[in-house]
Formats: sequence, C-alpha cells, structure tokens
Amino acid sequence: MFDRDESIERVVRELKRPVPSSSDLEARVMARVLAERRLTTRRAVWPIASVAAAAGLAAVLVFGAGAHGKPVAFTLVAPRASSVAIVGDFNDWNPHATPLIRTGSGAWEARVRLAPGQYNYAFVVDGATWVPDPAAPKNAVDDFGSPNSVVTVAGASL
Amino acid sequence: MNRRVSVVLALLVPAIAFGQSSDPRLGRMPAAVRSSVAPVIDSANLIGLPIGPLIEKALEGSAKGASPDAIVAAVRSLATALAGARESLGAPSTADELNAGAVALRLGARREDLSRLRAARSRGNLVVPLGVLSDLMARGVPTDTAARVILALAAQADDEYLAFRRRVDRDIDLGAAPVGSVIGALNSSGRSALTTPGKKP
Repeated sequence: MFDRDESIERVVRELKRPVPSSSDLEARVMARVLAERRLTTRRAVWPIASVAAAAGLAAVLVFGAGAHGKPVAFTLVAPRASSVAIVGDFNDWNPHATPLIRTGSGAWEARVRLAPGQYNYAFVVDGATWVPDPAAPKNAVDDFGSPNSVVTVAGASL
Repeated sequence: MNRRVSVVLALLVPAIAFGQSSDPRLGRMPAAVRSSVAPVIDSANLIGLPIGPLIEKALEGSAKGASPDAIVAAVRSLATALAGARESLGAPSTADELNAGAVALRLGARREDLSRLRAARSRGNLVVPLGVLSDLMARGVPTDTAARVILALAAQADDEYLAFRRRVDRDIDLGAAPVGSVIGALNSSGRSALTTPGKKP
C-alpha cells in the first residue's frame, strides 16, 4: 500500500485541530450577513462592523455624506422589545430624543446625522435596559458600570 | 509650577471657588449632580479645556443613574485626561481631537505617542487616528504596537485607518490574536511598521 507521509499527517492534524472561537460566533456571522444585505440595497459606503450578541443584533452603517454630517443608521435586533431608543453624546444622553422604529423581523432602526468625530452611545431597551451596540467597537473606559459603544465618523481626508 | 500640577489643583478646588456653569444642559441633571459637577466644569473652562465632553460625561452618568460621587469622579478623570491630551497634542487642537486623545490616554496610550502622531500628521485632523488607536487597545493590541501602527499609517487618509481597523476587527472576531491581526492587516496594506530595526513587535 502507500507509505504515510509525515508532512501530510501534520497537515491533516492541523486541519482537524479545533479552531478557537468565541461563543457568539454564529450570531456575529449572521450579523455580518445582514449588514452586507443592507449594504447592497441602501447605497451604503461604510459598514462599521458586523457582529451580534445574545441580547440582540445590531449594525451601524454610514451612508453618503450630507450637508450637515453623515447619516448614520443604527440598528438593533430585539424581537421582544416594546421600545428601543438610542442615547449618546450626539443627543445629550436623552432617552426620549431618538427612538428607534421597528422595521420588521425584530429589527429596530434609527438614522442620525453626525458630524465627523467620535461618539459614545448605547441603546435603551424598554426604557430601562442599557445595551451596547454589539455591532460596533466598545469604549473600554466604562465609568458607570454600563459600557458604551463607539462610532467614528470620518471627516475630510489628508 | 508646571501646567500639569496647576491643572490638577484647579480640578480639585472646592465648589466654592467658581461660579456655576451656565450651560443649559446642566439643567437636565438632578440638583445634587449639578451642584457637584458644575465646579469641576467651571474649573476646566477656566483653564481653557473644552467643557462639551465633560458635560456629556455628566449627562451620561446622570442618565445611567450613577451617584453624584461617581459622576464627579468620572468628570474629573476625563478633565485630567483632556489636559494631558492638550499638553501632548498642542493647544491648537480641536475639542474633538482633545476628547479622542483623552480617551486614548485613559486607555493607556502614552503622551509621547500622541505628540508623535501630531508631528507626523500636522496638517490632518487626528480624531480618526486617535479613535482607531483606542479601538486597537480596547481589542487587546498592546499599547506600544498599536501606537506604532497608528504612526505608520500617519500619511494615510481617515478611510484607510477605518479600513485597517475593520481588517483587524474581522481577524480578531475570527479567532486571531490581536497582534497577529495587526501584522496581517499591515501586510495586506503593504506596510511593515512592526519590523522597525531594534524594536520587537
């Protein structure tokens, strides 16, 4: 028969080796799929990220530049929520200023025009539960025991 | 007395030293919070720091139901970081740049790295590079590595920084180590900032 080639054995062992991944990988992959789908239908030019979490799934997309900042779409999938709002540096952390609208399939969405800069924000579900955006980078500085997400809106280039 | 000491002293001065801030946003806070943070904000204003980020921090804490003490501590910490960012980035920096620099400093970035970035990108706004620096550190990239990468990209447009960060995010999400993700993203962009002679990645 055939001799067993050690190099091939090594390759096979490597291929069989479990790849470590975080527990929410599947959710994050689905978030990316949904984000990509939105990109193809809304003339989006910059998806910030594409991940999800057990509490829900969110995506942040930046669309074409406007006269007073860029429209940024914030989306959270929270099928059991009765209300979702977004709070952040751009609306003085006012939970009544920017409610999200249910768009179907458990998704909630709001669009906000943001000038170039960096903003902290979070979602407030049912008026009480603070949820960071699983689709965006987290601000590792957590002063109040409730982490924020960060959205960065690019301005003029060099 | 150097500027750093004077800033710290100013921020620690008791409430009686300055008048109440007149920013209408303070009116949205409970009275106990307002009376605690107003002197800190007034102190920062007195030494020329941008007070917008401080007010937003206080509003955030208030919205999250934090105690007045916790809010004051957070506002003071941010004010100190803003002062450090101004020292590092230079007085002409915008409020957004100082705020982004303050976040980076609070995450462990070194002041000299901010100064180098300003020198390397003197004509451009630093909000996005500093934001990406913070993002990289938050994702576990060592401070030194993150700073060198940001400097290596200094001649690039903001969109390049954001594309770079997306590549790093993607690789980390797929299980790669943070440093490995950075090296991979640099290689794919044709750069090798982490192989500077005499320095280890």
